[in-house]
Amino acid sequence: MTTTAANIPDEKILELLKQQQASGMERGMRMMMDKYQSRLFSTIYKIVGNTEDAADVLQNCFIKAYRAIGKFEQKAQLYTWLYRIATNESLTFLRKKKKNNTLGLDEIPAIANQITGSSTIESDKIERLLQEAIDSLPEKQQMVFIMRYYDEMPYDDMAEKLGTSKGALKASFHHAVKKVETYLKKSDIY
Amino acid sequence: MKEEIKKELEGLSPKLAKLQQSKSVPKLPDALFHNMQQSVIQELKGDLKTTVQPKKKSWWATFFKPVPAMAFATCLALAVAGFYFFGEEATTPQFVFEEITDDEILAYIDNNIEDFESVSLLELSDEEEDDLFEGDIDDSALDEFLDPDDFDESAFEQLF
Repeated sequence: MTTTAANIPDEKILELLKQQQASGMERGMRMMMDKYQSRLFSTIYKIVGNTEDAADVLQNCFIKAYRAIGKFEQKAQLYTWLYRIATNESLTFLRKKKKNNTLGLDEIPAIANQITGSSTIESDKIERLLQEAIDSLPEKQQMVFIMRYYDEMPYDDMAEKLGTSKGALKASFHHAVKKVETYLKKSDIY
Repeated sequence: MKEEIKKELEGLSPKLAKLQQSKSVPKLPDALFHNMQQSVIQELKGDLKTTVQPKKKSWWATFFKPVPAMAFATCLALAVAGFYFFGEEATTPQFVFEEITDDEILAYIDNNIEDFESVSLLELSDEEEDDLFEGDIDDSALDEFLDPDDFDESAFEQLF
């Protein structure tokens, strides 16, 4: 039986990473990246909207995870912890991008243009508004919204990852959607 | 499952449901993941180098380590002891003879002549003679000094 990245236990990865030695770090990081990079990339991509930025954010996410590995208390799953870092990094990236105002026309999802029937510039604005709306949510609601809206995660999986009941997550998601919608409705475009 | 999520979202916010459909994720090429992994490893190796490298300590900090501190204390104690024992011995005679005049020394020798060994006295007299005959002495002075009337015959016979 061959060992694939998905089969490597998190405990083994954490043991290597916490050694604080170059050889252990390299092995541990490669195991962790092989195991989780595709899933995390997918989440990040859905938030930031393009491949290049998603790859940059994913890289930062792994670097930050290693630097903070001492703070990981193993109460949550390693993936859940990485997921939080990835979503936080994605939102931070969007915040910085908004400040620098460097969103190019090629980065705007074309489908948004089709759905709203609006111009490219308006689609750009809607995307930005959506990001701002998510950013305005409390941290826990942000997580719930991203998991459900972008990652289409079933409530059972979310409950396991966040350690919250299904009912509470459902209520949280509904609140988050309403808040996002209200935020978007303030704009004339939406 | 995705249908269930779609229905839920459409019930809550139809426009958001439409926007959500736009998020299809492209597959990232393996080469891009490989390059990303290399970049991450390189950056973190740099981190480890800087954290493992010991801090450069001030030179005086060495004295607070147990072994150098003990060695330093031992050397200091030996130096003080050496100065106390050998230094005092070396300086004392010079200190004493500075205060005593030549006359006082000679008077002491006269009074305690029995305590001195004859060899020491001869050495002392040699030094004094050397001092006496330093420089040139002319013949007239010698003639005056060696006046034959001052010597008796028995004394000469004893000498030779």
